[in-house]
Amino acid sequence: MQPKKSAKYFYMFISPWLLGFFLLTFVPLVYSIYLSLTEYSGLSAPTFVGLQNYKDIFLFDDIFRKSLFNSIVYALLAVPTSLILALVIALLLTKESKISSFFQIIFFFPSIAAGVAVYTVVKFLLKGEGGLLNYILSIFHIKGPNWLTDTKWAMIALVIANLIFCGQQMLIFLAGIKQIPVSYYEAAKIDGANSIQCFFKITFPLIAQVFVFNLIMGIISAFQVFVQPLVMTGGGPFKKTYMYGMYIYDSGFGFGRFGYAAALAWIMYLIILFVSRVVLKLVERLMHFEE
Amino acid sequence: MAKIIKKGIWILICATLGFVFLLPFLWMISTSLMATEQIVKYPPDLIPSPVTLRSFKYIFENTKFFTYLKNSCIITSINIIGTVVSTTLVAYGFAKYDARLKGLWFTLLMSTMMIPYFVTIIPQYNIYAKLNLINTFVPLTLPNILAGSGFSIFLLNQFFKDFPREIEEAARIDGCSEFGILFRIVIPNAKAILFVVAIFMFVWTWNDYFGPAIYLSDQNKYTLSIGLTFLNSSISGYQDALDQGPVMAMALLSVLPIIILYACFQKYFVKGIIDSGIKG
Repeated sequence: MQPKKSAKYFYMFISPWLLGFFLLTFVPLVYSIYLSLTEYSGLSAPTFVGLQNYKDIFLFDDIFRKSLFNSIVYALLAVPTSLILALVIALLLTKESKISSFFQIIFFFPSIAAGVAVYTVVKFLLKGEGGLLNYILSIFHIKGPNWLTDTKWAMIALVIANLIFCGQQMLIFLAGIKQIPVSYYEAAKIDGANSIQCFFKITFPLIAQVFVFNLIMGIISAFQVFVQPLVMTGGGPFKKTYMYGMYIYDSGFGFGRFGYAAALAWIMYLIILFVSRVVLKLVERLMHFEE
Repeated sequence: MAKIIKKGIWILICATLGFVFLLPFLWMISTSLMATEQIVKYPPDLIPSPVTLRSFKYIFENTKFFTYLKNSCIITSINIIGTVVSTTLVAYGFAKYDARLKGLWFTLLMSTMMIPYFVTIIPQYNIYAKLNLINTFVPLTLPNILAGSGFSIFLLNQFFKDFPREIEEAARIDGCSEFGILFRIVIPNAKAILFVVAIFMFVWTWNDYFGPAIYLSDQNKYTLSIGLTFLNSSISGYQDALDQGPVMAMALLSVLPIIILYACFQKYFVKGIIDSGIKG
């Protein structure tokens, strides 16, 4: 096909996306930069205030610091734990069999169904008085805490609850592991390697890319976590689980400070970009080092 | 012998973990079928006896469940159709045609997937508010009608790229138009991957809380996920806050379509995650 004709069809076919990109991403992004430099309640016209919002956020805003801290803590706890659990389950299911695929279906399911309904149920299961988890613990003579209302435990409870949604990562690991030729393991076995050596010398290096993919996607989504804490703790107790995303939401839709919320959101974006870049660079360096 | 024991331990570990993973769903089912007295009793039971449908009756009589259900169905159907049609066109364009700026557009497409929704939601809300579109389904469906799902485009793009060019060339020589090639030759072979796109869009829209929470404040426009949180917060104010029955019944009804879909088509869900994860 001639280049000119090809270009015509190209733009014809992608026109829905182009329109959507322009109207729903590009214009809002530019508008959002502008909004972040204004004071805007949504009712009267925005007033330009320059970098005042950013200055207020960095210099005076305690809730900003607190919610950012909470989100970082959540990401630091939730991302590694769910990655490790996903990897362990994937290793448990590596052997092809009817039973493996049955369990694979079960472990994958919660990550598909994740939403308000499931979080609501988990909240009931974690209730301090009369909740199922504490009842099970009491059988072993352990007195469970008030998971979601104790300042020491609320964050940990969210991280634990998050574990049952690791199914997608598990599947991606599993697919990566299954691509490794069996002959590698057979050769290692002949050389007398045990299964732990096999994991660290064969499996892990060969799924490293998949691991990085899961890690970065995990960081991005953990940092934006919103619905789970909203339903389960509402950000409490005493703002111990009040996440950065909840603060952006409240600033805009709760307190009617859209300019401020836009500035907060841009800071979030920059942090995510920065963190994923750093993680990627670190991993790259580590891999080179091993070679 | 050692092999059997090893297998036994393996099954035991998997079964225990599996039970924990499914516990929220089992709990939903059993609690929604219990009478109030059985729910508030300690230690808790897992098996309802007697089985009663009173929680469901409560939902049907005291909440606008059918309105929520209708709204969820409308939004979800529009998003499925919109996404399947629009992302097919866009992904096909990216896979089969060339233009000077194609690389730039594709990079933009991929990088928009990285933008947190918090960044765009604030200006978008204000734009929709100016256009008087709050409390309508437009903000919840327009993005998908305009091929907003990068995941779908990516998935379909992979498929179209692998589709043999010779077949298309042959059709072109026979005088088939470009749209004819797509609709009569490529799409009939893409049913499986289009189905993957459709079921993922179903699940995302059905489970979406953030969008409806921002754009819908009129109770008659609520979706199931908003209706559920609304019920949860309105019930917990009363003295029978311990009675989880109605909330569990509504939670169950709202995930039921996903349970059924998953039970019938898990293979397609698996395909969607693996194709987007491994090839990406």
